[in-house]
Amino acid sequence: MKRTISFLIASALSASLLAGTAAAAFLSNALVGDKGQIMMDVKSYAGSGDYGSANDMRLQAEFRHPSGLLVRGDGALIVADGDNHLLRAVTADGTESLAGVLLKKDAQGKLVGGLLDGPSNASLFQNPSGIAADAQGRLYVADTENHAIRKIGLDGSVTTIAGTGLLGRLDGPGSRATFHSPKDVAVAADGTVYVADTLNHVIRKITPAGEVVTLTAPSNRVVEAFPGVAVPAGDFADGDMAIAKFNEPSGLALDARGNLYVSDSGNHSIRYINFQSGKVTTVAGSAMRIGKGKSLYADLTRLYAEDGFADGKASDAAFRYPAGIAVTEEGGLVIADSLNHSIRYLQDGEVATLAGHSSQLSGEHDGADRLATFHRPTDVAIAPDGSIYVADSYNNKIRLLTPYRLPDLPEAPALKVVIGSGLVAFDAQPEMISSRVMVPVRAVAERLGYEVEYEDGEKLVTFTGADGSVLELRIDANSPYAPYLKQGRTYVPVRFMAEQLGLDVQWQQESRTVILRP
Amino acid sequence: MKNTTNRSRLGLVMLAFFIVMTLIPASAFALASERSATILEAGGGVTVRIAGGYASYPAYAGMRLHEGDTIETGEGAHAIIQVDDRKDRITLGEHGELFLSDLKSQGKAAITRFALLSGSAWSHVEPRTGHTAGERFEIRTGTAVLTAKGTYFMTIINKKTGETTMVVAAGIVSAASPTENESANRSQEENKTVFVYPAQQINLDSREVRELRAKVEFIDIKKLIDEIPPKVIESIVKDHEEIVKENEQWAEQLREQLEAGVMRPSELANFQIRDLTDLNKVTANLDNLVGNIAKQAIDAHKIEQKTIDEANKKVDDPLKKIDLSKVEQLDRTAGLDPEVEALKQAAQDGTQRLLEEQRQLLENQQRLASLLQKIEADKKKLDETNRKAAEDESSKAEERLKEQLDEAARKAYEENKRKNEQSSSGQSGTTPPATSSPSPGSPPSNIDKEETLVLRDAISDGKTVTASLYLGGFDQPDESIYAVEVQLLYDDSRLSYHGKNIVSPSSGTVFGALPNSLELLRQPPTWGENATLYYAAAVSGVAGSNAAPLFVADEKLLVSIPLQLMNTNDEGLVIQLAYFKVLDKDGNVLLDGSHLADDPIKVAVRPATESR
Repeated sequence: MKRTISFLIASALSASLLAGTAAAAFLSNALVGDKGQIMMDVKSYAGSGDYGSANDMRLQAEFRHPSGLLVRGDGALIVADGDNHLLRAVTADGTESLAGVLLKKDAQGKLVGGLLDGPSNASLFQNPSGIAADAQGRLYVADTENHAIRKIGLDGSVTTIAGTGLLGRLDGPGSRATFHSPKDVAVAADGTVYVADTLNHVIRKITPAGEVVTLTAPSNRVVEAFPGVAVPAGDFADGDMAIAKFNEPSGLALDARGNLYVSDSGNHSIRYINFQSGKVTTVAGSAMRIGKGKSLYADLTRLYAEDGFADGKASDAAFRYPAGIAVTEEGGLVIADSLNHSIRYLQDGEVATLAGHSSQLSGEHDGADRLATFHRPTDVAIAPDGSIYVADSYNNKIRLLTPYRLPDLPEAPALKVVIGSGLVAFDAQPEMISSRVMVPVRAVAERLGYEVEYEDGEKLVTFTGADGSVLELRIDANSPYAPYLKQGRTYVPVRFMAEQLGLDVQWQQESRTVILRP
Repeated sequence: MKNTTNRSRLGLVMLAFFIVMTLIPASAFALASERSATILEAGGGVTVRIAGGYASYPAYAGMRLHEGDTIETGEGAHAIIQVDDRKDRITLGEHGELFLSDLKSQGKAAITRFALLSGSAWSHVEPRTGHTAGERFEIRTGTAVLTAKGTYFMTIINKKTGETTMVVAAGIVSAASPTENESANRSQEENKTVFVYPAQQINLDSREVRELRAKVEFIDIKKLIDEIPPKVIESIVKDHEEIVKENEQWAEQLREQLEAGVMRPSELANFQIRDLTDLNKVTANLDNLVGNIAKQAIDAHKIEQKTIDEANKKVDDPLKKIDLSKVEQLDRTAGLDPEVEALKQAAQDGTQRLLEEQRQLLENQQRLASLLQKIEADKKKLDETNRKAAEDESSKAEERLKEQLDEAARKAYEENKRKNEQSSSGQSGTTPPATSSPSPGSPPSNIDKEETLVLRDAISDGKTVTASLYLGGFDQPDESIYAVEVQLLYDDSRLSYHGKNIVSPSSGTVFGALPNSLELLRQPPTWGENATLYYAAAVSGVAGSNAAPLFVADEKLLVSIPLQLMNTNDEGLVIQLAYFKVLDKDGNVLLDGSHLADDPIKVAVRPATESR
């Protein structure tokens, strides 16, 4: 009991001490909260959430498990709309189809894709995933279930630059080469296209001359996933490119030096291919913690390495099937951590969580960074202003992460409370009592949409939400949270009240402001 | 603000936390724990995808699943899984995809959430009492969040529309629209959650729902049985005893409430009991619920009597056993709240979106018609080759695995493999009872009729000659039709085809009755004296994928082709059947008429019998 209380007090006191640690350089002027949390707001950017294909205004449009994202040179967001087998563009005006057409549905009612080159309105894809653009603005698409790499020209025409539709691992001219469920591509300045060839567990490249070359070592590992069931599996090895191994690599991003980050999904790690040195290393995740000569896999039955969730030093960090990745202007790496339902950030050897539930629950709540929820995010892309788009696949939505900004605040040294971007006006001022901010309860609660009632000699406070939800707060007169009456108003500790109402609470020492976010 | 607290106090408290100072921030202890679910049955083609991975492999009974795993069922397949600690059970029907979103522990409490992505799922949720009383079991679909404890309910995702239908057999399920970010815009009168009671269902076709209560209606048993596969129906019938027990308790509660003057158990529902007559109607419905389901399923040839007999064995009270001869029709008026019923307005549903999508599909099919055949053929070939490549890959994996195992382990592997295959085929019993109805997908009959394709009639009305092709005898398990090609010849100076290239669907024909089929007619320009008309039809499922089987036992109309007479003279006119092939979905020829090229079958054009 004591512990809880002192914890809350400590967090309020130490706000200014902790601020500035973690990855504070992210989006240079982002606010950092009490526990080093970079303050981000999460909202729905496109998609009503319904599983469909309608083009419409951004938030009314529909997607079917969007799986890949790219911000085009003109700022438009390109979405690989997986189960619709389409490439779509999202702009301020709404959504439109970019390539691929809706052709048929199968017996299950699922749309059927296909492999067809031609003008954009006579082209077909099959579960397209990762997208990349070259310097001229041509788009490259990892057309996963066609086992092919496609290109969309400036005129919208679609061609296949490598892959025949057959699964396999043949190198050679693009027209003969084969892939196995490639999930991402990246294009270098010289026009080389890198491919995360997911179920071959290798990284390939397509030279500007159209030749496909395997860069890393294929996996020979096989597991008995269940008694009597043999399954081919990926593997892990760092070192020279030619001997390096991966386990379902599924995200790629080139950094400013032209080197390649790889999201090594099945190893729950982020790998880095340095083309200058020819070496592959692990830069974050469980594979960094493996002793020399030890295997990442506990036994012959494990398809994948041990997963988890942990922030902190990259070598201590843990992921669960990291998927799409993107490099920020400041050289950090944003990671769609798919089964932690979270968006992570790797910079300068530190991993932080930008958004996603603090217990990694799935959901589709918009709001403050660690209250917001996702459902299997599979890709990320950086907007020109630095905000982050997320392909929130199972929610059939594109979400947007932007740094939280304080509203304009009065200069006065008085204590202030803001809810989201709105300043709360008080007719009786908040007070600081032994490092706790006390506020007149009704002013704050009603602003939050709650009705407040008192019973039992003011000891039972009832909050009733607009949706009929009821929260009762019984206040122990002996506790440090004891409310008091002043000028006919009941004062309560704002942090305690707001946390119980499910809000994110942060204290900004500089402006003496309490920030509440749903 | 209005005073809504009183309402909430009347036993309607959805969320009431008594917070004393010991409360620990709730989120601190949630863990992706060792919680798991076990596959109790896997019949037919069931596959799993482990967590966030992309590789998938066959699933068998006894396999353990964890948070993040996905289980998929192919055509005719089914799976039953059970949450190990809470004993909740889900039967997933064919063409199903179920994602284990959250299997977490939060202190002593468990968070159990599934996402149903396609297919139908019958859920049996154990009661939550004691320290688990605050827990809920949750299924999410694209348009609904369904939470429950101590219930039996069915969740169906409609193949065509994506609409979610949820039917309650016992207990109470709370249904909500998943979108919460617009709650600020909703007025207070609109409820975000609605309670659905036994013998009720809710249909949610979109998240944009104005009044959730108006979406609740009386159970539509015919539609339910139409939409769910036999294995899932069997699960319902098997749970008959528990459903009856659960509902008896609830009926007792309703009686007590009525005596205490409570007519609406909740404002979050379309449910009201005004008097004893109402109560008796509701109770009678509850007693007859599974009986009606079973009866409809028998009538539709989806289950066999023995399933009912087995379920009855568990029921002690002879009056509660399912007796198809005594099943009473359900009273559709029972329990529905007239006020809520009045709220229901003319269909303002989401079919518009669907129609628009359908229009696009058709338009694209027409626009790309000349490419369609090639696309289909290419895809079929690719899929087939890739399926073989994948098989090849797993047998190589098997070889490599065996090399790593010692003698004993290798033997164990072989033994387990054999067991798996047995358990899978032993339970793939989607063998529905035999029926004589020749509807698409109906099961093969015992007598193997001879396969035929004939040009039966060519009838002239003086302006048009209608040529009719018939087909039949495809009644054996390996005779499921995927595609048909036919070539007709006729004198090009006297007859010509001027119709559309795509045949409009028609319920009276073999392919026209299927929602996912395509029929093409084409008469290319000719140089000789005979014009050639090509007819091609196919189920639009992809080769090697899960298109429903198409059996045609008795002779049935394949297509009627209207050919225009160039002049009124139809004397001595002949149409020739010069080629045909009937294929299954793997490209095997079921019936070959290619020899006719040398010696076509000639059918004389006859005048229509009525006067002309």
